Amino acid sequence: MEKTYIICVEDQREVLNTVLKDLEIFEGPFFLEGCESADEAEELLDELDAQGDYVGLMVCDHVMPGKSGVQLLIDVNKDGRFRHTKKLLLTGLATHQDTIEAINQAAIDRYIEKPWNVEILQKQARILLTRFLFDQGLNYEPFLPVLDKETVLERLRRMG
Amino acid sequence: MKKKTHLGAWLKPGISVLIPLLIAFMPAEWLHIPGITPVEQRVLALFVLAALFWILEPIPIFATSVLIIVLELILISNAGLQPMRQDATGAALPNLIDYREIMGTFASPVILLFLGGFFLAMSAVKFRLDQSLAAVLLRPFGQKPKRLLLGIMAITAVFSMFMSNTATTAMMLAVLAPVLPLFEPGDRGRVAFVLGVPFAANIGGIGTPIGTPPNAIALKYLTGENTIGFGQWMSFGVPLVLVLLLGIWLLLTTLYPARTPALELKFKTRFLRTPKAYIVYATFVVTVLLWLTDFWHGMNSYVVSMIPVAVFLSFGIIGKEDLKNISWDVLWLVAGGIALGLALEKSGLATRLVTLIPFSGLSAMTVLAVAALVGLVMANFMSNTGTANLLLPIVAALGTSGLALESTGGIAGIILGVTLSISLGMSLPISTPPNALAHAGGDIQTSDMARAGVIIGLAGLGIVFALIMILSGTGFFN
Amino acid sequence: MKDSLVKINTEWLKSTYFSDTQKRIQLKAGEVLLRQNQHNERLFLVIEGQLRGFLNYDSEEPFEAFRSAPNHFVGVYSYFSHTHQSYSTVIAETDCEVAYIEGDQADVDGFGFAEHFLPVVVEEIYMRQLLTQKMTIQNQKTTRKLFHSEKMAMLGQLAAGLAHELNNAVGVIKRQGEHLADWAQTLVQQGGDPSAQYLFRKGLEQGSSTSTADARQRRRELEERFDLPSSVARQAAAAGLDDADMQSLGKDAAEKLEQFLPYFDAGLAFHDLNHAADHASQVVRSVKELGVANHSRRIPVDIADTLRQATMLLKEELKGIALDLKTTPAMMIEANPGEVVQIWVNLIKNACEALRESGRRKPTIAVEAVLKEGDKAEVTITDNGPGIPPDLMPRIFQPDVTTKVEGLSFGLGLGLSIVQKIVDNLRGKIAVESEPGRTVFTIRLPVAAKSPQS
Repeated sequence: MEKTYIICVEDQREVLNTVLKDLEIFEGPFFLEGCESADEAEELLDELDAQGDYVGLMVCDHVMPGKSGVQLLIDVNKDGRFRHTKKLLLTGLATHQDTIEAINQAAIDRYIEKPWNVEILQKQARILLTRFLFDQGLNYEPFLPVLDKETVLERLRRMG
Repeated sequence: MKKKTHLGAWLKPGISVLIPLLIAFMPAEWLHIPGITPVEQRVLALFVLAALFWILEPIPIFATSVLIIVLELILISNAGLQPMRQDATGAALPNLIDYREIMGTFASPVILLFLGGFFLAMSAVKFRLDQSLAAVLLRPFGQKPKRLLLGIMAITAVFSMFMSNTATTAMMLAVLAPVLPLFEPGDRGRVAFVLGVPFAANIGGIGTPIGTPPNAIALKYLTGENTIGFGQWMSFGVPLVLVLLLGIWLLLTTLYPARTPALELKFKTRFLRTPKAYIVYATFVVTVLLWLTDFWHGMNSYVVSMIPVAVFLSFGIIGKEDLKNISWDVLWLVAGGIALGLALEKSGLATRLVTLIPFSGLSAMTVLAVAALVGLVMANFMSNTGTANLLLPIVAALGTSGLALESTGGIAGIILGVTLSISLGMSLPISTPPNALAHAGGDIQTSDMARAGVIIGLAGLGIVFALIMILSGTGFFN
Repeated sequence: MKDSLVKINTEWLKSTYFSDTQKRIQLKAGEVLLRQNQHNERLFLVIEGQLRGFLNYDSEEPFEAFRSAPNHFVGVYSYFSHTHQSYSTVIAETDCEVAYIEGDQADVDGFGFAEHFLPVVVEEIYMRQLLTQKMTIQNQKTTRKLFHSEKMAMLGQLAAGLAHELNNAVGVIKRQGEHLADWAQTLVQQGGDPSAQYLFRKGLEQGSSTSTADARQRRRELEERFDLPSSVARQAAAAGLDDADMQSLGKDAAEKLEQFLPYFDAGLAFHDLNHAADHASQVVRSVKELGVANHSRRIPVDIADTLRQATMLLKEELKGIALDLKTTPAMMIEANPGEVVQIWVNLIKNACEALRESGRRKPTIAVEAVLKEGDKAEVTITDNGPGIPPDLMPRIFQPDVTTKVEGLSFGLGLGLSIVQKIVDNLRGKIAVESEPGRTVFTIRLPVAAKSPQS
């Protein structure tokens, strides 16, 4: 059975640990992976794609050594293999210009400032993962306990 | 998270494949079915495969349906694999099924009837007719929780007669979501509301032939002299829904009385007043009217169901993108069931199996009771459509068993009774998608659902019996 | 002001026009030759001594207009203009002797008087203009310096305030975190299960010591060899559990891990909390040092010692990087040793980061300390990293935290401005040269008197 992954990319290990901890509630129906750089994330993306698995959500730090989170998400956005993958940018340094660039070029779905509120992060991740499942046309039922109920109801209603 | 052992992962598909293979390749004598032909043996294996696949779900249930159709084409059709078309001596096997008939199940009239229903429901949702209508219809029910619950359940039931049970539940639960936090903490009334919606949606499906897929499958077996029109179905379906709905309402308000004095539902939508919206409203009304008046204009419900398809596509109300969102899985799930029934009937296996059961001394009512109970139990644990797919072809074959069927008004009575009972299976979150949705909200426990669901199932069974008695007594089936 | 544009034959003019010994004035230092706006029809030539002209505007300080030395002319403007008013007050700086002429002088030598004196007038105008320009430039420089130091002072105040507040908050987080960790450890120890104790301590002491890539590899191994479910395997891999650890868990490792991995998480949480608090206080300290001049006591410091200390501190960062350290013994400067170490730490750390980010194959840092010009200690820190982008070069010493957007680390943003601050305080100089493959920071510090001459 194909797995659906959540990938977190953050260069600072302690922060990565915290993000992973906060997203642990999705583990089970979803699979969780952490990466310490954009390069590592890209390798992992290739690998998961080769296995036929899905990437439902990418949670990215903004400023990282080497390739930045925005650039990584821009590249993912251009990549047809991950057309439905949802993108969440975590940032401690949100200037207006970066925000505009990120939203326009990387089609970022959510923008969350550091330090983040765990409930907001979880809620947004929930919504994005729910949208991913419906957009990708996967069966939502096994994931139902960790999905955003409102989004599920709206998507199901639309089917008539 | 439970550990998945390698054994566990392969157990389901293993059993589901091995047992049918065994049946297909064992010497015919071992089956102890006198006179069974090679084709019948294969159909038996297919039937067991379908049953195991639909119950254990090693693959999605609609995929099972398509698998059945394809296996039938290869193994028992007149255009199948060459070795499968002849016996050991090389002579052509009798009873092979025309491949066109098997393929035709994808577009059989009941499938297209459902497609018409989908078009109506999709356009209604697209033009927010569901929400605006719900807002208007709920107004007279006021803010008292008890009356409001009745209103919500009534509207849910009415909508689910034309929309899918799942979409109706989704819509009504979304309407309900902002209200639920208004319940005082510990007020069990919340449970009544959350359970009321999926139950009403499940029950509402009984009301029309397009309300829920088992109805469509039943229509497939109600042919010839047993044919039931759209209006005829509603003439008993709607009163049954009313009775069941009132019963469930009383049950829920007794089990989970609300203490909160008043609740207010808020709707943001208004009726759209665009030309396209008016076309949707008009098409909806005209289609339903045509369905109800088939005796007058002569077009049966299948023909009528194609009218909204043509209208909506012509006016661009349903576009290319919307077509992708049609629940093809539901249509193909039904098609697989029809194909299975076709194989059972045409191969002669259904008749042969039925003759094995010693019916002498059994009354038709007893048979109905057993079959309905089996249907109810199965529907609680697996998909309603799957249950209907497996059970109805066997039930339909009873008509040829020589059983005295006067008390149920002929075979139609039993088929209807079983079909309606299947829609009563709603005691677990896994019973139906509406149940799963309601349970996922986290406001109710499985035990809450089971308590009410079991009572509804058993009491409902009694009411369905009464209905069949009344119908046969009034000569409805003649 | 020796710059002269016009060729003037002063000696000839002197002997021709200023030879009348009657027309000489002796001035004592401080005596006034001319007052501003005074009527004057004389043209003076300075024979001896220094004079200065001042302008008085309203109540403001007198503004210096010119200086005159021997052979300079004074009163050019009032003499040649038709107003005959002195525009400045001319005061003798030293005891002076000036010669003068009065009114229109007759032609000498067949040429007109005006023709003889035209060069003098032009010279005078030129000199005045030059003086004004020089003073404007001087003025601009001063203003800029003032502006910068005011900015820095303000930033310093802000930083100091911020640092104080943050330090308190971070201090509480750190101390209370440690308290909680101690308390939790006691609880876990009393709780009894050795696996729980082991995992808690592992988390607390080691933190997440495994890289995510290694952890992924290990996760797969654990899934296959020990038949762990995915989520348990991920956490066990992140915890860095080796085969011995797994064996010690016994047969039902999966169940035990599911039960006890939260203890590792708890330990890890305390470890990370502590680490983050340390990081925060380091940043706060950097900000504070940037803002506030360090008035600590200065003692003789051996440059070589400070370089060795800095490399010791950066042991972790320098892993995998070849360090080439060459020092001159007993090169002493007067400084606060901590500050000097910090210069090297910041610069070498930057080099490490640049090298690491570029992923260069043979990363090398060369540090060399030599004595230059007899009294300057010159330290060069060279790396073979990718170089500093040219557009960034003019700004690298600014405390411009926003450079982080371009992927630079916080250390470079603030670190270099701290370095410059310290070097400035030591009256030293810092320079940088950079091209791809070679970046050199050169620091020159004045050595203390007792340094040996090489």
